[in-house]
Amino acid sequence: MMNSELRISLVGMPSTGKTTFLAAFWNLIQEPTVEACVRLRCLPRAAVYLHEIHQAWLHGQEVGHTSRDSGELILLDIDLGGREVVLEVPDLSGESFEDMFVHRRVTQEVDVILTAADGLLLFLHPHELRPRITLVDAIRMGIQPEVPGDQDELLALDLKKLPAEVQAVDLLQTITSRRLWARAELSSPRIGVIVSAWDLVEAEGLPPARWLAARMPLLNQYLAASLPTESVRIYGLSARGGSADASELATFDPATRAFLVDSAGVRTGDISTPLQWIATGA
Amino acid sequence: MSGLEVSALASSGDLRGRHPIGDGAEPLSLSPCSALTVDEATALLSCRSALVVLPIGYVGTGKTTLLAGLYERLCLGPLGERCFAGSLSLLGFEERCFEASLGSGNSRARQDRTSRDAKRLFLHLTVQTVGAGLGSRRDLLMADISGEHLKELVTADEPGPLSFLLARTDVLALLVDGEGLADPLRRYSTITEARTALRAMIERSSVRDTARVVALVTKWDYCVGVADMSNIVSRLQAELESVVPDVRLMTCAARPDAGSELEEGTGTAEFLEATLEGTIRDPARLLSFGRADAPLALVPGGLVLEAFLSAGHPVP
Repeated sequence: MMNSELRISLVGMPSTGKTTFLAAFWNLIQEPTVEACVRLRCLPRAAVYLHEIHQAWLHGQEVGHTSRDSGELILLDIDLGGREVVLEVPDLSGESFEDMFVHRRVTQEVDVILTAADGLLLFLHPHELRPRITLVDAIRMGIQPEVPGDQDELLALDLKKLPAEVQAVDLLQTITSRRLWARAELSSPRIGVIVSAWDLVEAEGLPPARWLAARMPLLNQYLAASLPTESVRIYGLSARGGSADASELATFDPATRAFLVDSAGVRTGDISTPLQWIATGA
Repeated sequence: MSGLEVSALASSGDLRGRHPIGDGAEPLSLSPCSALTVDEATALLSCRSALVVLPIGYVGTGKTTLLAGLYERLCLGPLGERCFAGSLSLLGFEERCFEASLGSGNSRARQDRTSRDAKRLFLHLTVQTVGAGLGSRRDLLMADISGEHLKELVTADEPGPLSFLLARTDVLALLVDGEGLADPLRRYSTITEARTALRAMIERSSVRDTARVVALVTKWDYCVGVADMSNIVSRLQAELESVVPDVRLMTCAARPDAGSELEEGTGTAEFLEATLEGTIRDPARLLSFGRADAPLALVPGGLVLEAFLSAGHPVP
């Protein structure tokens, strides 16, 4: 059996759920459920970071980023649908992506990781959408604009506060152009769009693809127009397993806590589905 | 595990589990993604076709508002049959939208005229027909220049940047202040000024015969309900046609008054369509000369690479 490498980059601004996904994924591959076709082949020698985030996840706590510098490069020997794979999942810090967007710079190591990736998982958090509200919108909605003391004094544009979809489009444009610059190839990587904390928006009754179209129309247009249809899939993910408080979440069976909803709205406990799709296209 | 142990693992090649990322090397700079300079726009035109659009009007006619309103409307979903397919100046658009956003500290929508980098003139936008393939993509380079330049062209024959812009423009959009048309005291001066401005641009610059000329009555929300407005618009049209016979007249209210019944972005879809009817008859003609050799590559049908736009160089 061939031992191949699969490099998948988790992309997203701070607090969009990348590390929580990684913790839940680490739980899954150690204790695969019946429906999951991924398992850990052997324990890595150095697993301090994974252990730390997994412990936080098991106890229902916020899975904070514990990295120094730009993030953590994680290599795992896994069995993916009967195929032996060395999975490289860099857990790049959200600050790395914020730095790309706000300060227009990228560390060389992060650049190499992003340009070499076989696929990307773009993380978005539904509580961090920051939709644009124009003054006309605000006044028509009865919202009184907050004006500083001096009416001629404009506040400075804070790029961190721009709509999340604008940030996401910029990140994808930047990564796409850097990849082309570095690899000089025209093929598009597979991009899985992960709407994290899906349990918070599930009640809206929209499958992930329609939810994205309704809530992030600029990003949705960009994905539809700029990438081949077969290169993009949109998922809803609840890696934490719900919005219950930590003490309650800790009592849930870890094997069934996290769940994923695919583009069509089908729910599964196998949160590795996006990785399998990137690996195989199926 | 100590940092020393991690380093030892890394150097031994066994990175299974974890390896802190961060090599301490100089970071790479990325494209600013703001409006493009003349050189950057020229580099873009040297490798791909893009319609050069010049919205032009006197100070306060709403040039920047039109461009920001077009983008804001596109952010809500496809505009007519056109959808957003990328922008090399995404943050340039955002800068222009900010002043009319709730978070700006403004109490009313207004457009700042002085704070932006005057060298960054061009907003880039790629649109694609909804449901169609990459072949339907069109790139637009829309100039955002001060109305002062038009005044100087008309009154002193000093075109400034208009000299090269008008020579390369594929679509010339003359903006006429709808607030002025609605005001009986300013109505005829507004019409006369518009005609004179169009004439000055045609006579005092090298606007190409193939350039499409449209006239856009902005702030249309001021005109709604004004008595005899259809005759006023007809008069405007006749005056402009005396200079350019096939000028097309449209109306828009990119940011109507909050009390108006008009939607934000009213007329921007029509403006975009009229713009896309322009044809690039002379794609080899650049905005500035001597910069066509910048190395550029393309994403299929999409973005110009950052090669020219500063990427790949260590941050100073």
